[in-house]
Amino acid sequence: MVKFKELMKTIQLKWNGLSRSKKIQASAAAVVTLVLVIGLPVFAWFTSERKTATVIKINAPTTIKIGAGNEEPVEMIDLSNINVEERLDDENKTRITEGTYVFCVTGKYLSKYDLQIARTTNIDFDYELYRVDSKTYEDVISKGITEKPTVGSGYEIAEYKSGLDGNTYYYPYQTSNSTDDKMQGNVTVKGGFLNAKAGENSHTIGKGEENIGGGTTFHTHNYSSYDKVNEYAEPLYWQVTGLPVTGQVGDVGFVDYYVLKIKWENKNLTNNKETDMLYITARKSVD
Amino acid sequence: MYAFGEVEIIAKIRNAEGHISNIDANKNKRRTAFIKFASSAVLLCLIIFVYTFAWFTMNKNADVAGGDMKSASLPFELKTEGTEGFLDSCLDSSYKRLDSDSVVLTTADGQSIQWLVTKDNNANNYKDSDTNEDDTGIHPGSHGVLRFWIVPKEQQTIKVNYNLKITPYKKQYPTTTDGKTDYDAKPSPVALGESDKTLAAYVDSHILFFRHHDGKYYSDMLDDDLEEEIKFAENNDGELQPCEVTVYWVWPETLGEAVLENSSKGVICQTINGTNEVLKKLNKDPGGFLKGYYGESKLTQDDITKNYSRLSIQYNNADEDIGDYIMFLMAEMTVSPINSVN
Repeated sequence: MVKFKELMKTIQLKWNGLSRSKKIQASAAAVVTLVLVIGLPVFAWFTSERKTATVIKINAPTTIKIGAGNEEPVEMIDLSNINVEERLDDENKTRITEGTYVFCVTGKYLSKYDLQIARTTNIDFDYELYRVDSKTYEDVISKGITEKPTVGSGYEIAEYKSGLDGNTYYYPYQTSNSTDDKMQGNVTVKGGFLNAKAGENSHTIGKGEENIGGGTTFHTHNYSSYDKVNEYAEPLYWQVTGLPVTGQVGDVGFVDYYVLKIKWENKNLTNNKETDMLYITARKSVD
Repeated sequence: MYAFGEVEIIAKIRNAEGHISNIDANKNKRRTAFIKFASSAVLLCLIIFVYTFAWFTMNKNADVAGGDMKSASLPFELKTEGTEGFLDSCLDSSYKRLDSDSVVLTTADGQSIQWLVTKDNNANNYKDSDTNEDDTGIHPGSHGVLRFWIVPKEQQTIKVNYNLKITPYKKQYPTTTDGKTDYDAKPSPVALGESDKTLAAYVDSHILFFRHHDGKYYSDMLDDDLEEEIKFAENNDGELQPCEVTVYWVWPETLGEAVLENSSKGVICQTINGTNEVLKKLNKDPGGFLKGYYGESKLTQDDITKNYSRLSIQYNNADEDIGDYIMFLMAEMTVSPINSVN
């Protein structure tokens, strides 16, 4: 005990004898030593456990869908009761020979997509697909102005009457054939039939000949070996691929508008006609 | 007048004093040296003692009971069986990977292992030559099991703690030369940041892990820590057999399936002792369960039924955010022993 006291006294004396900087150095060294001495063995205690781990992928949700004009839900697209006997209210009572129907492709995280139109061929309509010019008429489309705009030559305007808010929206499109960039105009020329139909009384679409027979993949895919299918009930597929997104919305989204033009000029049709079903499908470009 | 003899004595005394002070000085010098030596020796002893103490208790637990030191060795190892999950190349190098057989085992210097998967034991991350890439990955409505084994050492009955940590990684797409984001390119994984707290909360509350499933209902959610007592079975030779631990994972498709016990699709959890585990999780942080939630901080099943269409859309929107932004999750199961003090 006495020796301890003496020891402490000596340490005290020694300590008092040190200069200020030496005192600081000595305390710092002592603290660091203490920390290491305590820290290292304690760390060893913390590793008393066992682990296992794996990696789980999250699938992305659907990022492309079809809508009506004004980005309204797809249910608002109405192709029913096309009136082929309608005439204009002018002195000649000119027949109306075509109808235009607006739809949109909307989504996010895409740069390119494919569009497919599959339909039955009971009615002898001609179909054309045009791309709305969202670059030149961005204000018209995005703001949905309710007055018919004046447009340049070479353009026509498709109208969409909203059943939700009662307004009419206008979509200008070029009537010339689309160039290779597929960004506007008549994109029918940029697509093609996946299955073609040929025959005497067949119903043509665009400029294609339609060939449905037991040998094509589409028939066997839809009907297997069954071959007693009414030729006008068998679906005809038309597709255009690699359409680029033009109507950017925010950072990641887009809305691209299209006009489906249905024509019956020079065709002997009456309103007492059959019914066709038409499917529009969009998917992210696969290549 | 001093006599010669007196002067001599004085001189001798003086000399002696000088000699004594020399001796004192020497003594002091030796004493100082000894003190220095002694204090370093004490410090050295202290260091040796603490390090050896640590050596004895490394990979072991030390209990202190009334001043006694009792130490026990880690009473188990972990084992997983199967093949690599197809994204497991993203695991960092601290995880021991499969090299031969189809089994990986933890050891004292390989404390973390890969969680191997099989055809019926996976998190939709199992891939063989028959698996379609489209069938991999999880989405709302997915569910399954992940299994591992606890391998005993000497003790037949042990108590363990399960801690399952889910770390989400989000997608980052590269930018093209003109500054636009290129969504056609493959994204790379990026850890979530401070601004992604709500996104992390959606992942934590929508993708759930349970310890038990009775065929209809899940129970014992693995959220933070869950304790369990394990008694290892013995084979005919009296050897202790590994215990299979099944973790049930589920991502409820709708809000009703997650919490509503009168849901037509079938709720995943029942109320036991007054608590529905998923509802309890919802109420811990409603804004991290339902996107854009506002209102009461504690919802009952009745509240949810009354406002179902609004809340259900909020649940689905949170799911959509998870799908849009999160690339994958790292699921880490840590098993640690709990020693009882007796």
